[in-house]
Amino acid sequence: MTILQFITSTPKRFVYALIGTIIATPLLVALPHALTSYWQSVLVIFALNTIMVMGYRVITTMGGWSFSHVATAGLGAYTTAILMTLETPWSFWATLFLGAGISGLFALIIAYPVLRTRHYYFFLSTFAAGEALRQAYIQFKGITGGSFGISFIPRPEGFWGIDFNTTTGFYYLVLAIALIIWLLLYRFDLSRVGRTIKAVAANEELSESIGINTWGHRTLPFVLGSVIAGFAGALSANFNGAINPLDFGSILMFKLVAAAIVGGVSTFFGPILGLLYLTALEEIFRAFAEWVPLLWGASVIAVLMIWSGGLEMAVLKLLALLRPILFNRAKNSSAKNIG
Amino acid sequence: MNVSKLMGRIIPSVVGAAALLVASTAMDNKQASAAETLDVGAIQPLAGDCAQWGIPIVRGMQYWADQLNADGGLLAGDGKRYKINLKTYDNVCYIPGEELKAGRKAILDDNIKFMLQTFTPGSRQAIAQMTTDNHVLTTSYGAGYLSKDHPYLNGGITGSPAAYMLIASRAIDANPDVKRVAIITSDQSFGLAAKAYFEAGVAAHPEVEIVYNESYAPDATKDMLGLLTPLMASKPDMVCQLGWVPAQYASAIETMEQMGFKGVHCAEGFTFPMILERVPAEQLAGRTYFGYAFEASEPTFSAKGHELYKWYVEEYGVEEWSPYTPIGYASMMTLEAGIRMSPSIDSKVVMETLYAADVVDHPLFGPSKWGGEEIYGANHHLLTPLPIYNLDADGNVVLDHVVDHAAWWEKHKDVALPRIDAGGQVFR
Repeated sequence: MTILQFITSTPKRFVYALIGTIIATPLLVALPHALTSYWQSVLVIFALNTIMVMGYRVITTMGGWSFSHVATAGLGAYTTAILMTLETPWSFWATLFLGAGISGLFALIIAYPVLRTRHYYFFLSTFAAGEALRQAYIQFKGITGGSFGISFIPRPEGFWGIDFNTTTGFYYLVLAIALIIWLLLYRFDLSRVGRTIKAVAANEELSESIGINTWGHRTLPFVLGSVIAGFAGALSANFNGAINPLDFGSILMFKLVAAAIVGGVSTFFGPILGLLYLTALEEIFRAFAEWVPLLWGASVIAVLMIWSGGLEMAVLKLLALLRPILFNRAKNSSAKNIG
Repeated sequence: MNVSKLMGRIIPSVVGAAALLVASTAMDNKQASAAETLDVGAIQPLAGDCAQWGIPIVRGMQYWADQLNADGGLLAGDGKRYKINLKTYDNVCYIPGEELKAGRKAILDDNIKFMLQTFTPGSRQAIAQMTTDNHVLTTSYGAGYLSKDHPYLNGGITGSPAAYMLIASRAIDANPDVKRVAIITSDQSFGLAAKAYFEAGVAAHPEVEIVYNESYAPDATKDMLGLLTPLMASKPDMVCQLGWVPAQYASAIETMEQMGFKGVHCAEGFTFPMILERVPAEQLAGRTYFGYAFEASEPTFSAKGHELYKWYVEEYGVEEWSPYTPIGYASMMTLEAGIRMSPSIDSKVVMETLYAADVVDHPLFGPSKWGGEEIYGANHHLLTPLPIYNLDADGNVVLDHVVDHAAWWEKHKDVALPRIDAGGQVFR
């Protein structure tokens, strides 16, 4: 396919998303200037977690809910942390892509055993793989620092006058990467391959019977989602300046799963909506942080009972209900004008 | 579903969230408007298993604040009195990433300038740069990690992990029959630090051999028999242990006693109300060596400190007493001493005043010197004397000995330092 063919075959929805992104970018760039340093750091963490949930959502499109996503992100984080704290430190950019690549490679290796499983067994097998990886972070002390982790990871060198040592500067870096990933993944989601992945998830036997390579269409999103997790892991290691095996445990993993349940995964914006909700909850109740996991859990149960399909379904229903009203109004007013 | 039904669900949720936001903002404004108030932060685990450590520590800090506030506030070196307002932040279970998250809330959101955190090296390192950049004088019940590059971190008392070295050494001194020592700690950052310091304490006694020296994953504590069987197979005369939450200490000691152990137990602290429900006091009498800051239930070391115990028992009941309560209380007194000495309440001036003092007159421990140069490259660890305790046959805690930390270190550092270094705990 040539670039011209790619552009002409681009779905309208992607063009709208692209225009929307271009319009929103100046607002997102201006946003940290209206915030205190604390809220700037919340914004960076939200952007990092957005990258994580975008990657997670790609995995869910093939029909499985992975529990190794955060541990896989750890591979990106450890790659960056180890290589940037050497006596002769590596370039951040090299470690960023290498970390993402290693995360993808790990996913490709474990894909063979874990993608043979389905439903709960997939969840459990990825949980086991993630836990094994986290144990490796603890046990390979000479490389990973074991339970002490790795501290004082430097931030990347700035460019174009942007200092990544400041929270705002680092936010721009994360924002740029998040927007690129968002556009690429959205285009992928709308592509023939993206739609085929969902078709395989909906009915694997039927897909296989018409000649679709179901194994490939399940492996691809699993690896792609893990690569995205690797990017997020590497960036979070740089932002926090310290990593530890406990950072890649079940707390963040639960947050991602909860974001996917609360927001829903049938649309691209669902998990991001869920993440926004959970982050808002966390910040509103920040004076009672110990209660936040309880509220997250209650939200998951409430969504499952009241709004199965997540917040995205509520938004979609609202849009569907508003569309004829707005459309009729526009139609009526144009009819009056004609009259 | 129609629009009105849908809006009927959405609007109450939005109104509720907005009300909560307004309420929390109003609370913040109310606190900000109070004059001559000094906000002090505490980052500790406040939920889950580790809250068995965190909550008693925070209660000890609250007692410290309440005592000062009852006197009209802390009289600072600038001649003004400051009411202490304690704010708490959850680090889940000393997880460095959560420590950083809590640190951001405390430092960037609440503008805290004086704070207490864990000694856990990974957690101290996680917020080291932020405390330096924002001039937040952060103390702890021990050192763990200190650096001349991060002068705002200090060790407020001997505490962890140095105390482990002194306890192991004292227990061997007091029990010449001890020739074989077993060490068991959790495989978390604080547990591995403890392991290195227990080894350092044993190293001061060349005639004693370490026969078992392992770490465990916290999940393994669910099978205490499986965990302790290989340890007991090494036939130790003394077991130095760290990382159990208080209820697990009780379970571990009960298991070892059931397996026929007759030797010495050594640890930072034992929560005896839990332990004595399982093992009779007369069986453990004279065999449990421990010390962290000081044990407030024992009245002879510090009458002032014993008042903490009386208050705690009245407030929460004797069965809730925890040896961890005094450590937050004692550590805050180092900051208190600094604020009293400093000509200004500015955290940078308080820090410089504290380090400039050759000797700090600690309200509980008396005159104490700064140390830590050989381990941390900076003398930012206040070497307070360490009282070590034991249990008598009536179930009372009795004072065994008070170790002069500075003197012990001068005498044994040549053998202790290499073990601390081998354990990855030297940060020069």
